[in-house]
Amino acid sequence: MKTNLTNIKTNQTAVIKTVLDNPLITKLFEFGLLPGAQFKVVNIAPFKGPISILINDTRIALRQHEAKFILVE
Amino acid sequence: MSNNRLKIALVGNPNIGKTTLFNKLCGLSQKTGNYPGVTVDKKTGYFTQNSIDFEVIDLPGINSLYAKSKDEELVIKYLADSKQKDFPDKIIILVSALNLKRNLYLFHQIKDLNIPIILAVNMIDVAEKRGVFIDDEKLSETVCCPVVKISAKTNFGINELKNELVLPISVSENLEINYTSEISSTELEKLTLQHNKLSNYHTFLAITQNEIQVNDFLTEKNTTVHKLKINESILRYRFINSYIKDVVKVDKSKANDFTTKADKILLHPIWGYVIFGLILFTIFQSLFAIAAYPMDWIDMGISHLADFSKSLLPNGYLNDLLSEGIIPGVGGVLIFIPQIVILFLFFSFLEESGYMSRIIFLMDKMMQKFGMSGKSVVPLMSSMACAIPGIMSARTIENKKERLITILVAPLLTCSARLPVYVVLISLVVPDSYVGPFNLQGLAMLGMYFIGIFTSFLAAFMFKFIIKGNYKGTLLLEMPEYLWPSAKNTMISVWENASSFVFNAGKIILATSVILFVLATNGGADFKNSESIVKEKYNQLTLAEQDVKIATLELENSYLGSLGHVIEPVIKPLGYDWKIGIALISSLAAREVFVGTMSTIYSINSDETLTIKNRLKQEKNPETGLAVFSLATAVSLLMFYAFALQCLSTVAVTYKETKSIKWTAVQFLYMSIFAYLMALIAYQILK
Repeated sequence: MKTNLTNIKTNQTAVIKTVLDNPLITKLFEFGLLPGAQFKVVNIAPFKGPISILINDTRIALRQHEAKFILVE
Repeated sequence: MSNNRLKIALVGNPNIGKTTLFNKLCGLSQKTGNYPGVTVDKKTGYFTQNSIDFEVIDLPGINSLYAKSKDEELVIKYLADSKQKDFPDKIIILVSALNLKRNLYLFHQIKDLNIPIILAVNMIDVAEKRGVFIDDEKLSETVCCPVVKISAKTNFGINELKNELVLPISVSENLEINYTSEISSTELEKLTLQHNKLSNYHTFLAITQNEIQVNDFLTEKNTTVHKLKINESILRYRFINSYIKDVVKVDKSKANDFTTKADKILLHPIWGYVIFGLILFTIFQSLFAIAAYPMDWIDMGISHLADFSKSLLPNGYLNDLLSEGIIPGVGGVLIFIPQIVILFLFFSFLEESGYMSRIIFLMDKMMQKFGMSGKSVVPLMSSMACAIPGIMSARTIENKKERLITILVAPLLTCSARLPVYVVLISLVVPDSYVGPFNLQGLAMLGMYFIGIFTSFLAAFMFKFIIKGNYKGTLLLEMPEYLWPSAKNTMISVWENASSFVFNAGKIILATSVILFVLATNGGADFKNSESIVKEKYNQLTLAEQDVKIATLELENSYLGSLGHVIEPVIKPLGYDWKIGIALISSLAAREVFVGTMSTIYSINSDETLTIKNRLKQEKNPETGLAVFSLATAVSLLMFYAFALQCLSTVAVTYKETKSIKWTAVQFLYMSIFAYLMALIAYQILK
């Protein structure tokens, strides 16, 4: 099932399938959000605030706006 | 500066203990730029090992060699130009054992620049406790550079690192290219020679930054600059993944996930905000409840010192200058050292523990409604100490519009320079009593903070619609593991901020108080004739009463008095007399001068040295006999000081950071006009 990162609930684990082209793609890749990487959603801020994910033992927070570009499985 | 000093630069991702390592290496023998703030400016420190002198430069944390913020731009320019004169002899790249993969990404980028580097793996102690073991020899072999395992906090490996710095490093170009598959190494080498670049990676960077235009070449390869950058990330991570398992051994049984557990509460949709609110409340309560005692002592001490110097030195102009000009003026700065110290104690504790980035996470959505980013919270909070480090730390905000708005509204927040003004004015009109557990003056002060916060958000909201922005903005933020802050770091940061504040504000205050004293004790013909005028007019009064009249007339006719009279028509609707006018003029340079000026003006020609507060309380309007500092005047002054941009240093920093006369002027004008209007409204309603 393919969906984007914003649909993953807290404590769920998923794998990044593709990252759609967006102005921040290089930055996302630099932070290790690459296709094939496994991650776990650890926290979501209220009112559609940022999402914090655990990837490569690092916690990264990103906005919903960017999370929509990340397709996961 | 001796020439045989070895220059070392410290580079690394943000939040991995770079400042801790810097403090460990150099201790207190370090200096910062002009303004306080954590690694915002270039910091330089010194140490000696094996009788070789070292100079260490602490650079702001960066995430990659592709700059997204001003802060990163600065570091990248510095690292890329290894031909420049003050290029470091050696570079320490600090990585965290807890985030090795991601930190190695930056390491490989810098390594490919062919500059002499040492890889220092920090937080070894914490990593091993969590079952993460790193084979430094294998890592060194794989990445072809010296590797030292350290723990900046516990001192582990620091001596080994210093010894490694003494040894020469050989740099050889890495022939294997791990950052591009589209361009072959022969093609890159050809371009490097053709464009006279320092290394193949320099050439690659120049291509991706469009500095070298090779569009035809790229089209031929069916690629673009954008694709090259994306592919670089993929290839580099692939390379890191290919060796990381041989270098890092993980013992899962020891894993301890304190951070995840803590975040469950600290980032909770309700409790997270409750805790953040409580932290803010604690900070502000301590600022007033705890700081009040040392502040009273300093106030008393200054007034005793003035008495003492008055009685000790022979009578004369110099004595007066010292006891009525300089001592009370400088006392006005010293008095808020306790508050600065408390504020920065909390700040550095929050920063070091890793909680600061949780604040960013919690606040991002709300800040976006006001055209700012979660990252604006740190600059705005710093602005509650001083707008200068606040504005400078806005550099970390990637989005231009969000950054500009943050800079524009930061000076509206209550900085510590306003505190002495508020403290004096509030103590004049608000009784020092308690309602339940709350001190009324403390509540009034809290109210002033809320006014500052409210107007800054209001202004930000308006600017959100006025300023045009391109991209919606972003937030990509690493949330570090929670760590217990190091006492040494906290102390050094408090010391740096407090001393630089006292020094900077002190210079201005000292100069202003001397100038004011001279202006107040000299004047034209009316000033010189004051004595004879009074003697003639009031000859029925006692000598003592005549003396008071002479003193008042002299001050009124002094150069300073004339200046106050000139602006009186403008400020009269706000409820101010010419004496307050003088204080307004002199505090154009810096707000805190207000208190110093007031105490200078009111102590001139008075024999008793009272504390500032009592002196102002006694001040009566010579015509009406009513107190000058009525509720209406005091509130009007509070409004004026809350909103006006009376700080030359802030104006200078805004210009430096925005490089725009337009926005600097916009900031100054919108604040000043708003201040005048609010003061006017307050006075006219309350009088």
